[in-house]
Amino acid sequence: MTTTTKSAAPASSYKPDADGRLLEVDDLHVEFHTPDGIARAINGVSFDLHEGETLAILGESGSGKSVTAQAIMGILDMPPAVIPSGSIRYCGQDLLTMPEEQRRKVRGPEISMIFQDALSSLNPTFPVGWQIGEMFRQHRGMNKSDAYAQAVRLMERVAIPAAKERVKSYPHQFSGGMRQRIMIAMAIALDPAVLIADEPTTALDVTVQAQIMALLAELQEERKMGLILITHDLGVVADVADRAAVMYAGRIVARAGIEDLYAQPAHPYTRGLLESIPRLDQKGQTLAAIGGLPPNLTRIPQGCAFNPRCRMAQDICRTELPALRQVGQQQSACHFAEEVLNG
Amino acid sequence: MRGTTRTVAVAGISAAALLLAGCGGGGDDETTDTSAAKTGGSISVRGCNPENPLVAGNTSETCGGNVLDVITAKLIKYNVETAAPEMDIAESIDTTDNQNFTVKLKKDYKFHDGTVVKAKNFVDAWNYTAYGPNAQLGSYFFEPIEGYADLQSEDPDGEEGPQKAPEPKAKTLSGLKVVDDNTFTIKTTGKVSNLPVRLGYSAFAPQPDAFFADPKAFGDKPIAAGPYKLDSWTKNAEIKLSKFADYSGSDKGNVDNITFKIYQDSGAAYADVQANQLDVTDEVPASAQIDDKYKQDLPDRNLQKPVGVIQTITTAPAAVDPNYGPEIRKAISMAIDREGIIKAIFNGTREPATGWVSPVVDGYKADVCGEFCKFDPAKAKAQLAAAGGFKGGKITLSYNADASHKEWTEATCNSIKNALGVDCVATGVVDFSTFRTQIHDRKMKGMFRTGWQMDYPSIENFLAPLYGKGASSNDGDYNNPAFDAKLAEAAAATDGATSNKLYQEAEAILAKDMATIPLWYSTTTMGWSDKVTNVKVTPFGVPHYAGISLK
Amino acid sequence: MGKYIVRRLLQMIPVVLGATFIIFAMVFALPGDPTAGKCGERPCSPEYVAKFREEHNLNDPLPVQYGKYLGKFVQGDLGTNYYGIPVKEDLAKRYTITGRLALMAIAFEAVIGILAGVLAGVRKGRFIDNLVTVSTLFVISIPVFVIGVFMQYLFGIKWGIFPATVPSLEASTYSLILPAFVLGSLSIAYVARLTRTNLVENLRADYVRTAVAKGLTKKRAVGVHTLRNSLIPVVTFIGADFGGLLGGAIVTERIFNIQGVGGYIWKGINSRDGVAVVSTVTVLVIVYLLVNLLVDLLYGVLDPRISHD
Repeated sequence: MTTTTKSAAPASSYKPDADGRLLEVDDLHVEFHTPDGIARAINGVSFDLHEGETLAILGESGSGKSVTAQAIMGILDMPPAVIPSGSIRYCGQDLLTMPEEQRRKVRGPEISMIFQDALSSLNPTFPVGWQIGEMFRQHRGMNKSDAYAQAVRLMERVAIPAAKERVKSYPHQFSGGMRQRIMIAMAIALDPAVLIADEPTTALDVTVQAQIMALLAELQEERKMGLILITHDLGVVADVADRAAVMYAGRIVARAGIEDLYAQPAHPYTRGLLESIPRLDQKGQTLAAIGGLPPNLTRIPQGCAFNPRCRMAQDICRTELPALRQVGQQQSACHFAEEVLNG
Repeated sequence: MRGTTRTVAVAGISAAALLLAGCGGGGDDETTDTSAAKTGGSISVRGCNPENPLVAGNTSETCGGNVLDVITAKLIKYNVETAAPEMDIAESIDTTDNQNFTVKLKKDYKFHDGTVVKAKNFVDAWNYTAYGPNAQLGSYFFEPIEGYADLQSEDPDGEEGPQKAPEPKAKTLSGLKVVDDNTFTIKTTGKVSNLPVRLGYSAFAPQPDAFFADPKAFGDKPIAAGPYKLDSWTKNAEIKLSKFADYSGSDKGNVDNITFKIYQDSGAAYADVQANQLDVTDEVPASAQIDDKYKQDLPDRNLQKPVGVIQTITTAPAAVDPNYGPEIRKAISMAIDREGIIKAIFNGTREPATGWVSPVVDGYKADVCGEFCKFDPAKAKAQLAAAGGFKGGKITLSYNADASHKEWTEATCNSIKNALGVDCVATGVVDFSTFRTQIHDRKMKGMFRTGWQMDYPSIENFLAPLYGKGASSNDGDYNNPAFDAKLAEAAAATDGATSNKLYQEAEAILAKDMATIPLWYSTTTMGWSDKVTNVKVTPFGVPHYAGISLK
Repeated sequence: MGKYIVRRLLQMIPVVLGATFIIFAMVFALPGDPTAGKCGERPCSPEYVAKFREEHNLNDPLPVQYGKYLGKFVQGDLGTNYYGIPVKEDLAKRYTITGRLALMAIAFEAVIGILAGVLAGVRKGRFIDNLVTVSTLFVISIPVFVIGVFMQYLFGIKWGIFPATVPSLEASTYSLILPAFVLGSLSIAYVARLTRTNLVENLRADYVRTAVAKGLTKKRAVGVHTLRNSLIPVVTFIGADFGGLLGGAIVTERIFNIQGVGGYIWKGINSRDGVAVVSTVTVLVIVYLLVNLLVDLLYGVLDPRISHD
């Protein structure tokens, strides 16, 4: 494997702080103004990310995970999205108050993102090498043939066989797993400090899933990137993540190291998620799904948003919003976190 | 002539009157206002694609005819204002008996190729046209001349299908004889009182020697003896004429160049006139005639004049359809609200007919039809009852659907239906050729529209070719020996007034039989650009191109 | 690809043969005697008719006529029309002008239509979008002869900016601008709408999100990524339209007095000029099929997901 030759890039002007902290999201709120009302997609989310760290953000659809990622990337459609308050600091600089032109230069070279469906996320009418090379041509002013050479290098890095011959092929000519690798190649092209992977393996077979996750882990290790893994599939992140944050109705309701989360969930929702993973030794029994549906974001229930579906809900849950508080090594936003932890 | 050939309105004149005019010396100096008109310059006029090559004896439609009009000179020409015949190439045409004519030519007329116009150029050309196998469309004009029948062959096509026709007995008309370079004689089979009047029609034009070598090629670049010569003809594009310096006649032409721009659509030509990119159009589209719009589009640059065209309704011959006897026809005629239809459909551009002859012709007598051509529903109903009622179920009126006849035929049918209480249906036939074929083959039943445009300005031209026994345009097979006898009498009369009176008496016979139902006379509408003036129309409904001048 | 082209060309042959035979049969089975119109309103003399029929093979039975005709056609002799002019000569001149007109109409269509569509799509819901939507609807609902006459009046007569009709001898490109615009007007409307719809749809596509996430400018994300995808159906539409325009445009030709292919066919039908009509239609069918083939190939070139084998 070729060594990690960093592309001939000017040294980034963004440097992590003394603790190696790259990203700091502080009390972020995001609303969508729709004809049906204001959907509160993110309601006070805070977390940070360090160099070399892998953070998993877990939750069902509608929990706000993708919106968080898109807010960080700055690719939300504003309108109808509105960010009324909060900050997202990258290497100390608030991305939300940055002028768009400057922000654009962060997007891609500094913070990049890969998406779930690589077939629709790649442009079907351009060769893959052209699309990868576009990063170099647009951000680094490289010429066409140099950019293609870089593309070949990256494709080899992500283990696409016969990269040189296939650099001019089109997305539809690759398998699902290969396409995802191409997306990854494109995302790491300019050595970003942060990589956000939004459901990177959901659309792939199980065996390919494992390969892609391994690749991501490898790249992260190599480049000391901060990696944010967004998924609803707890099975996938177990090996790769360091820490996890569970989101529900636009809030982080649990935060823990990955082993703690799995071994000792401190929030009823986390527990429910773990219990709902199908297991081979449970063959023939009913699947333990969490009853009910995620809330309508224009009408989030008062108190704890999870209360309509929670087995342990009490009156207080319906009136008082539980704060995210420390419970041992973890954090949990539940009035009865201790009970959950122990029982 | 049926349909769209050019006609000239001429005060019907007799040979004697012509003699007098001829004695005044050739090339009379009409004081037309050409003396005041500017000469020189170029104009463009509306043209259309001639159906056949430009051979004078083989052209019977306006596209070719209009061009031939201005490049040919004939024995006589027709005065633009009065339509009176005047000598052109002929110096004199003499006769004492309306049967033997002596034609003397002027000595100085030249063809466009420089050769001199001689008597044989006339005689040879006329023989060529009359000769059946040459299939010339103007052939029938020579019918009155002695020997015509010998130049025709029998149509051998029987049930077995088309066969080769046998050769005619002769190649030259026995009635034509060249006396010397400037004189020839004409002998007609019967008496023809208005022969000289007819001689201004283009079928009688002389042809240069060059014609006989290759008539077909000649048609693409004809040589004639008129005030303008043809310089070029680019098919589908334009025909260019220029003034012929050696024209000896008096009507010399004003502008130097006339270009006939060929248009497929009268609307496009009209648009060009409005934009002053075309100087004269002789066809203002119907859309521009509504509410006299054209008068606002082209203020002081338009005209509308009656022409020698009459529209009638003919009923199928009795052998084909017995339901339309003379008394029935009279009832139908009284049931047609001519004024109403003209106002509603034609915007007033027609005049109700009161007889079978166009008013522009000398010899015209008004109101020959009398009460039977006046709209009176009560009388019409009574007439129908007296005639025994209509036995054929419903009345049909057929028309060719490829021209704009649908509205007026429907309106006419409605008028008949309302007045008589008999159902009347206007029936379209897909196109003109099919329509005429059915009529010609005597397959068409009921009534059908017919139109007639005069070949030459004479009352006789509205009577003989249409109502004479077996005449070529007698679509209803009208046959009245008294009528034919009167025609012969009129043809023999040696003075104009008598001749006209006799023709009028013949017309009265038509009225008694209601041979056809007269409808109305037509008008022509023209417009021109702001660059030209002196645009006059001949009674044939054709612009007098030679007289147009630049402002 | 080569095999594909050959196969398509071979498929053309039965189509052309079938079409021409049908046209041939229809024209020669129509009622009406072709000589009747030639002699004004008087029936032609029997000699004239006999001569005419002999010259034009009208006395043979239909299949024999067709066979003779076909024999001459494959040798490049398209026959002579009833005016005595070789059809090939006429068609050469007329196709030149129809071709020029078609190209200019396509140019209008492409430039104005795509521009309007892109503007409308990018500024969806705003004034320019509504303007384009309403004006295209307007144009689509008005018949072409109304547009033609109106434009001729406004630009040719009233304001005199363009010639009111096209000169028959040498049609300058300037004089063709107005009729080309009229001809293209309907298609401009379709192209604009098609472009707009495709653009709007593609703007929501995932790969646009990716392009933005890559830190590309909005202009590039729309101009390069989206446009390329959106234009594929538009380009194929324009190609097909070109094939149709090469068939002539009867109404527009009449209004502006253009000596094009459409008017030629119309005149041929009217005067029962069988040879002219059949030959022209045959050429037309061949041209249209060829253009169709080119459009299909073009589609394959533009969209790499389509393969021709």
